[in-house]
Amino acid sequence: MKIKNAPFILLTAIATLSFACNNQPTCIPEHSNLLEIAFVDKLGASKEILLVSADAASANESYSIVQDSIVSKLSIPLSSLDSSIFLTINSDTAIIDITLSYKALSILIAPECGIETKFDFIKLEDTNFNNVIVINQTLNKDIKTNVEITH
Amino acid sequence: MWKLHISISILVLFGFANKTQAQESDYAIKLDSTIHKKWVPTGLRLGVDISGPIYSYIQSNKSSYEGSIDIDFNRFFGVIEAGKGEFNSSVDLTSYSSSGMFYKIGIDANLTPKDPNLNVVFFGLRYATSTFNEKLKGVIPDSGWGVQNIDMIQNNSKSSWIEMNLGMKARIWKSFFAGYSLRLKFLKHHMYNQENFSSYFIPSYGLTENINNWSFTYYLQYRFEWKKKPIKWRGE
Repeated sequence: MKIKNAPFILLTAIATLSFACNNQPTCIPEHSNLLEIAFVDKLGASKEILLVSADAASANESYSIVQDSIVSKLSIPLSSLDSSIFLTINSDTAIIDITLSYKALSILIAPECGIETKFDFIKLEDTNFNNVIVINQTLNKDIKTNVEITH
Repeated sequence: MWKLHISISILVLFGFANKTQAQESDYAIKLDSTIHKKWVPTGLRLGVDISGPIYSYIQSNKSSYEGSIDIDFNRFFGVIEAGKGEFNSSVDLTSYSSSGMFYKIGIDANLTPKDPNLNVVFFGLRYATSTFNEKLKGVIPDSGWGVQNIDMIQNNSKSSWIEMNLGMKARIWKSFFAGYSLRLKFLKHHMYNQENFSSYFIPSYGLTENINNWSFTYYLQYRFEWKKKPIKWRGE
């Protein structure tokens, strides 16, 4: 009598198993790797400046961001394998050195999608220019400015 | 579908309920005023989850092996579950693995305490914890610093979560039981030993990015019964 119930139990188990579903990943990266630097005037309005050069260096590498350009913003990619970046911004009126530290956390979006990096805890470690402030510590597609330089 | 599920469960239970006329079954006696020790355990049930190995066969990148012990206290069961889980994946240039142990402790409340064969429909709560090790390999596409290779190990991450379980355990032959439970899990806490990368998979919980997950386990169990359980008899 008791063993007769086994098929019912099995059937119920299979019915429950049929609810199982796998969410397919969307593979859309959520985070940005671009540090957004904005140049503003004393009133906080966007300001265009002439950059002779702007260079970025990490512990092991360096590269030129821009040369001889008029800009009001800079978008600088951060390295996933480092925790600090050294910037040299050479404008027509000043040479600005900035050292920023940050935390890079690798995130597996999904095995099918690969890895992205979340950059957070951006902190101004050193600068020779008085008017540099970090206004957003996280790199995010929705955040337009991380660092503001009043020039 | 849920109605069908519930209907079948009820049918199974009523299928067992054919000894309601007697005052004693092979496994239970009628609880009366002369019996005061209704909280004294009458049996210990050991079980293994067979759904984990089946999933492992279907989905070769996942494996889970789990065992359980429960002991009765009146209409409640104290439950301890433990096991090992693993997740491996390698797609193109990205590979990831997570493996570790998990432990769960909790109680089940018997919703059918008058069943003379000690079949159980239960609602249970668990506190679960897992300690696990992860490996992540892959590449970050060129973004100004060249293609960057990621090759990281992260050991001894810890997670804890709460589970709500709904299920049944039915006697299929002598002291052998079969049963299943549907588990809804709520991630409570996740702690990195090393914050090298974000954890992706917690053994027995599932994907870390989900605040809640659900799963299914199907148990085969053996109950060591040292005395008949005093229960309120059906119809009284």
